[in-house]
Amino acid sequence: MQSTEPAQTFLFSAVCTGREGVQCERSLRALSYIFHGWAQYTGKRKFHFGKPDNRVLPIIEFEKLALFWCRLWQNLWRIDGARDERAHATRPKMDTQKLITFPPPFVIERAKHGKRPQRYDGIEKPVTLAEILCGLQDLGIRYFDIHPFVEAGTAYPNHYKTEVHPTLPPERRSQLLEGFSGAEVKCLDDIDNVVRRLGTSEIRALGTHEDLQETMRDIELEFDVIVTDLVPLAVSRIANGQPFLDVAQDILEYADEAYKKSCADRKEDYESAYGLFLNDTKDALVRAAFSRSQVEASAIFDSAQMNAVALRAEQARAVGKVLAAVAYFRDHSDERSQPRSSKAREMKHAWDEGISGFGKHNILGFPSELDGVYVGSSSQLRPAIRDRFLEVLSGFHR
Amino acid sequence: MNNALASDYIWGIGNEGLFGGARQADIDAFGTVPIKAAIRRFLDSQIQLWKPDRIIVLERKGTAVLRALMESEDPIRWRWEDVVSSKVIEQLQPGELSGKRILIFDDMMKKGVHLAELLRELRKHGVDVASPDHLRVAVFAVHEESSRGTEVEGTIIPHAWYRRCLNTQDYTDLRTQIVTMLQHSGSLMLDTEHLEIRVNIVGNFDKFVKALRRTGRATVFTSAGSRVNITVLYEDDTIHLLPTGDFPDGTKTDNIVKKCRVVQRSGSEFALIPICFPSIPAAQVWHCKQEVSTLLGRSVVGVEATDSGRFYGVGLRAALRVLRWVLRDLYAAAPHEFTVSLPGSVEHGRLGSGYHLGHLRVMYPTLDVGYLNKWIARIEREAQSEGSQLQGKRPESSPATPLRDEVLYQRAIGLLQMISDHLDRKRIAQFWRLLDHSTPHPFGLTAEEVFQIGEQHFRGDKVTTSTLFDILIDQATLVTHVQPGTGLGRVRLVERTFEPDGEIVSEAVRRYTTQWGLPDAID
Repeated sequence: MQSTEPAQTFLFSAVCTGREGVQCERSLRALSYIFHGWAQYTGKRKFHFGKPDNRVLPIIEFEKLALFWCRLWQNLWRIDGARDERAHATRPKMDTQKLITFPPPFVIERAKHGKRPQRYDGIEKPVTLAEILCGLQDLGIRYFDIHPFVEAGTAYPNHYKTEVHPTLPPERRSQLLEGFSGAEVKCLDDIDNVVRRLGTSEIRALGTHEDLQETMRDIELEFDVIVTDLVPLAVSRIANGQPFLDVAQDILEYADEAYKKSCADRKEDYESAYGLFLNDTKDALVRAAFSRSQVEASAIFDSAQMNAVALRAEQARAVGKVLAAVAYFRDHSDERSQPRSSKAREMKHAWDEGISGFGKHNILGFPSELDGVYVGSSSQLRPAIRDRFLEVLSGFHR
Repeated sequence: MNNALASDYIWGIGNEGLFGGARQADIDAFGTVPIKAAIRRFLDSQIQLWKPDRIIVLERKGTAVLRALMESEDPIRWRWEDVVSSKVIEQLQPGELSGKRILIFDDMMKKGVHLAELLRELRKHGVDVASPDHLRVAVFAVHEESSRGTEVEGTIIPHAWYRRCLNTQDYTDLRTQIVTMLQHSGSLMLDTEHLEIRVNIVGNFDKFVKALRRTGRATVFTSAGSRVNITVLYEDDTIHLLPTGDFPDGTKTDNIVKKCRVVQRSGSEFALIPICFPSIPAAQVWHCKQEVSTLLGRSVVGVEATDSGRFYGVGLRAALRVLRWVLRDLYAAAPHEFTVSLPGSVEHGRLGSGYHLGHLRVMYPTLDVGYLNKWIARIEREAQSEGSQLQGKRPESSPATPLRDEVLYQRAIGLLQMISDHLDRKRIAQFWRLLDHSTPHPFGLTAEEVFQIGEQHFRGDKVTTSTLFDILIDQATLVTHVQPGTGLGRVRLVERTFEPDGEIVSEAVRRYTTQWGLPDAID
């Protein structure tokens, strides 16, 4: 920028027509390159819940991969990006072949249950990466083969059952990087070499977590919704003898998310993915960007802060489970003693786990059997149990 | 929505025969008429044709443009007493506008959102906004999105125009021309919410700046038109505490902007513009001292005063404190380097003798300008006396902040990007929480939040960040609002907030960020 070029002139003249389109398009190609590398890899990788991944990523895990890539690429750009020469007049002329030429174009911001890559224009609602890819696919632009979850003829790209499949044969994959700088190709190949060996759960862990502060903030936001929106609603419904299954399930959902983000299970996945990256990336630039993007597992999961929050999340999850089961069997009294439907069995299981959690966390005043909760076979909660629920819920805090 | 053709509803001055029916856009399509002359010609013709009783100006650029025209060498003949800011309509007494011939003036209009808000407000005040006998809207340049007029509750309100049907590129170019014109006329500080006094530097400029740094922190930079600007910031130290007794109970006086801008007007003449906006509790009557009540009048201190009226009134009161600090420092450390020229009466000012503060009536409709002049004169006398006693005494000058203009301007863009990014993130988070993407207006960051960004991202001290504010405001890329805060768990405060100035700037900032990324944090 010239020394005192006015911002209003500078901003309007520095915004190159179509350039943001190039940034978006290149980012999607880079992501597609990494994803296809993962999907076309024939070697072994960690199973997810004991099952192979079939070279398909559920949309949540896919977006976690995108999050991880965005963070990494953002740092590559910061370290060695071909920045706007106009804004940095003192810089010498750049050889863009040796540099990263575009930053990731997404706003990484929290949505429901954590961060997602999004685009936002200030007028319409934010658009998630899943929605962008489905929209492009509808237009015939297929960087990926998206199988959106469809219900009653409507596609739901953000639904967790949406899947991302490969769309290119292996021999055409390299075409995705046409026009990329030498430095970019080198970095992407180095990233690809590691990502392809990551299991689904490892990708999820690496995308979800970056450092303690951000993870704590993610968990706090889960609690925030529970405390601010859900608990008051549940308290009101229970106190007034109204059905509360929907709100109980929401509490369980948010508590479960808080628990997953804080628990040690995640640590193992994060640790192995982090280690693989640290050991197997060769490019100095990628290594530097990675060390700026992610901290080691112990810095996130072994802190006293995280241990305390994990304990709270575990308690909240136990409350959510008991609450959901009580709400369900309140409305389905015929299944209390003999759960027939899969939902009833699921809820019975939730009750057992929740009560066991109550025992572990010394939450007293609840019967060990479901029958002890209600007045006979009615849907009415016993007054003592109802009051105890209200006490426990009121004890929730941020 | 009325489907009639635009031409049935547009009063472009060409249609009224001033230029033989030709479209004005055809006449100066190649920029043959300088922008200031073109706006002057447009507004003057509107005044002559319409003969309004009052002009309502849309903040903030509309006001600044009017002031530039009224203070130019060939001024528009109009009285400040008959100008009202769009921000103060709610402070007016019922009946003050009804039955009057009102001319609404704005320099530019894209979607007409602000105009529609104003028209709704006027309707609440009994103005028949659909009556061509009572209200006329004059907008110098109109984007193609709103060239048909502005719809208010089902009625299309037409507007006079000079340029219309502008596409975004032409609209943006014209906006740049207007902002540049304002900068050359004395920057966007030509608004009507800040008091100012003039000083002449008769001695050494460096000594003058050093005196400003006696208790303040100052940054010097050059703005468009090669004007010298100085931003002097006062920290929350013991010397610069604002007396709580000056303000409504519960007013927040720390972590706000307390500063003085020093802007070169011409040659050796500079304007001292003290700026201070404490955050005040909402919906709370200000039980102030009699002298403040006399100064500001019922629109600020009466029981019917609005939050906005009170906020600006408190700001003016606080600015007088800042004025005392700056003058005291100058008199203590450089008494022979400058002379002060106090504001005169509006009548004298009109006769070309000195300057006056009549323009403040636009934002403070019940301000007693004569009383303000006396108050300023008293402050000046007392500051001189206090300053002379402090000569040669500590505190020492604060160290200068040695950033070159180039770096400041580069960081200003970065700060604008960061503000825009923070606001977008807030909106996105709000969407996911409420599944509602309608954004309340205004929606900005407080000074405290922006200072935090400056500190965390740019490792900048407050004066540097404050200077970046000034650069952005002068360039019409950042705009200020008065906004009720959330105030969770405490009294709800009315605060000054900052956001990118309008849709055109916001979109440009977002696109720039997509193309070039957010600025690097300074390690």
